[in-house]
Amino acid sequence: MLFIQKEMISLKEWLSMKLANLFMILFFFLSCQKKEIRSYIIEVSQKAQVSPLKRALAQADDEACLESFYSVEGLKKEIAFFEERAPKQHDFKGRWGHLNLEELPFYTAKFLSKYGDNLGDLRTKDLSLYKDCQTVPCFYNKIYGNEESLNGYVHYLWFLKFGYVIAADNKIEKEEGSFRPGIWNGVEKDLKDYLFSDEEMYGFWRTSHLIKDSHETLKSMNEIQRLPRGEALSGGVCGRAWSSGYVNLSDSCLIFKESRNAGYFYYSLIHELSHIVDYEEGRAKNGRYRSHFDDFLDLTKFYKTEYEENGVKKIKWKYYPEAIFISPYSRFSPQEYFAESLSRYRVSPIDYETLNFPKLENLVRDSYYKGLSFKGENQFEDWVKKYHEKKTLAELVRACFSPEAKGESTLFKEMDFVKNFTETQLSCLSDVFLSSQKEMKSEIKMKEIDGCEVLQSKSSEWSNYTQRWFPKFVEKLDEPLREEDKKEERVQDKPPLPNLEDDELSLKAMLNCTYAEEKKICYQQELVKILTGILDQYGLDELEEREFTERYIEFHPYEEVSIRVNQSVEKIIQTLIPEITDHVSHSWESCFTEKEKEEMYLEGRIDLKGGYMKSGMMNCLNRRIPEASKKLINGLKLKTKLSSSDEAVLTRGVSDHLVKEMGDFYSQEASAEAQRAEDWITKNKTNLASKITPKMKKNKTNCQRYALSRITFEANYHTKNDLFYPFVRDQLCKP
Amino acid sequence: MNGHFFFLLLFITSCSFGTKPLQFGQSTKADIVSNQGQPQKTELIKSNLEILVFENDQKYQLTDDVLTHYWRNPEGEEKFLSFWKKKFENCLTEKITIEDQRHVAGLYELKCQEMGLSVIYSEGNDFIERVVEYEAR
Repeated sequence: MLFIQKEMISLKEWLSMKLANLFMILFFFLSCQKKEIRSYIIEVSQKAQVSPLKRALAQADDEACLESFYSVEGLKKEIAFFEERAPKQHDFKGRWGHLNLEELPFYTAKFLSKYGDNLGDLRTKDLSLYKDCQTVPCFYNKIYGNEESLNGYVHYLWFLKFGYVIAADNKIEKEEGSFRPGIWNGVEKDLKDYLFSDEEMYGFWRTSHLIKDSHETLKSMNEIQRLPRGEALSGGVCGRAWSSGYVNLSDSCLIFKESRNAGYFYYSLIHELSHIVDYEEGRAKNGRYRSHFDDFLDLTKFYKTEYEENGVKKIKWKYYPEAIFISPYSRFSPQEYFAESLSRYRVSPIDYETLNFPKLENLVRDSYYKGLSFKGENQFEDWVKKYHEKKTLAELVRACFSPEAKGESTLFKEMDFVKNFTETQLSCLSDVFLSSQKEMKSEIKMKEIDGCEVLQSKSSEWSNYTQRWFPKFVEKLDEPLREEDKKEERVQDKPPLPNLEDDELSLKAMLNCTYAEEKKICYQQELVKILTGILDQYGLDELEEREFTERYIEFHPYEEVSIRVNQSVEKIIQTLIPEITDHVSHSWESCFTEKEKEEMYLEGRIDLKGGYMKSGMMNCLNRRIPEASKKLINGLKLKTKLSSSDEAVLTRGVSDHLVKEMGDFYSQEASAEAQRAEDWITKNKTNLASKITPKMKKNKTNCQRYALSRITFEANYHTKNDLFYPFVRDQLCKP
Repeated sequence: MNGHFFFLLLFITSCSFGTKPLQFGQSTKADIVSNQGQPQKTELIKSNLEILVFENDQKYQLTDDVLTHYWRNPEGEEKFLSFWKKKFENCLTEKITIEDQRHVAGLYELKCQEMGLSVIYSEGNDFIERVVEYEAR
């Protein structure tokens, strides 16, 4: 069945046969793989679903813009896309107002368990407001006092897409002006003043489609907050980003231009989020900011001066005279330069045209925007590459070479092509071109957030570009076509291509990249490697092979596959949580006795968040992590067959959970110890104070040293300084 | 390798080659150049405050032509705040804000004056950026 008789079919039939046989091929392909242990993670992952938004887009009116989906119905479809991917089971427990988390869908339970205490007026925390709500959009819309509002849906969509929230409460975390909810700089503010406006919420929705790649996966973010209307941040800035995961924006950041699709809003939001990108990348590589790494400093010509003056350390950024700046604000520091570079690349790409700094542009495009360009012909090139539906178009073009092609060309002339085509062929190509150009245009408008705007303002540039692109596309197809006979001979000996929708290969590629540093690059390389191995059997020409590979990668983007694999791993690991907790508590118990060992600190993974632990114990715990992961995975292997790549991914996942549990365990123990120290102070304060004479207080340092030496409290998770220095300084030795 | 070890090593090397050992409060620019060779760069912060920059971002700070501070990158376990907390366990330490958190991660100094040592670290990851040595008090 998989072999085709040459004399029975034309090329066109051969191509449609390829599509028709997809499921059979999948079966054939999977059958070939059965000799190996089938990946457990892949089994858990293979529940691919087509995005409802994609379906809606496919059926939409030709001239519609993506903006027209900004409606309750459109937002619900986007939300459904993410919700469909949620695990069916979860172990969120407890109650939130009238709701039992256990009974709620995964994302609603997850949202409430993380952000349920940060909704609305935090002075009253009156959950009765939400008593007739079951969904996240409903909670938010209650806060806005408008159940029909789109805002609730945008809040929820942002949470689903990015894992953190746009705040709708009256407490601005981290800022000095907001120690208490509802109070800013000592003045009482209405909850409404803290809420983003409808226009601003639209801006967030639009931004959710603007940002790509690095901005989509910020792990440390918690909330984007709005300063009360009319209020400003100190230091003359309109927004701030904090390492603890907050981006705070004031009025002057949230300005739109003549339309809601343009304005400072987009620039400043992406600027602040870029600071988090900078911070997270730096942190992942054991640094402070990515922008402080040598390659970036070399590029931007920044250098650091450090000195001490009058007991104060001063660290300042300076730049060499040859430095080129993307904006005036980028002169402040490498981190401002970084944030400016990323935000302007997306929002004001024209700045790069005037700047003419290709090294910077390449770095930003390739490392932070998936290699995409947002200006001029480069953007057209990306769009054409993405939307020209190679297979279909190639078929139509090839059909023009048939002698039956008819018509008179009004668009293309012989001189447009290097090859000689007849008038009828040119006419056919003109028709194909015009219809494909129309299709591409409507797809771009519907799928790209700036599609309508760009195609409208640069309509003639777009036409010119595609008219130049199309002949090149045709030329490429022309060559192999003239070898049609040879190709058909090859067709006889090979089975049809693998199914584009088959996700097994993509999952396999992802699993092979478990320990890769640059996972995304690794994933694409692995996929190309796997596909090349398979496609080699089919005797395709280079163009066909490349087309298929590109299409497959488009069908299975890194971000989507990564989410699916992570969710599957998470699902499997959830079953191991009781054992992980058990391991942590046992390790803690046995390592506690090691605490007195004086050792060199080993490079460990447990995050003490600025805290302290005795070196012997810390090293002991860190050493237990790989041992415990291995034990747990061995246990799992007794129940399920695991392939080697499954084992690698799960070991990593278990190990991450152990590290996190140990970090949490440490935090609990450390805060219990801090409490015990407080109690100790209360109990021994008078006694200690009696030992400090007024004379001793005259020499501050000696007094403090003496007082600390008299403290007999034995600390395991803090230094004595951490626990008692403020008490000694402010109470015992204060003159 | 910690800072004092570095200076001890410098001292021994200097003695065996007949160069003058570097000492805070005493050594001059000429002593540093004689010990370390020509700097890659010099920065004149003020008329009396000069920085000599050597490879691996080592910096010698001179005030009125006298060595006051030595700045360097942390090495090995020195990169972790826990290491320094342990090292400063019996020292009255001060945590000083160097750079406020106007943007993202603040920068702090953990200072142990008795040992003549400070470390500069960043908020969030407790990663030691720089080690500063000076005269112990």
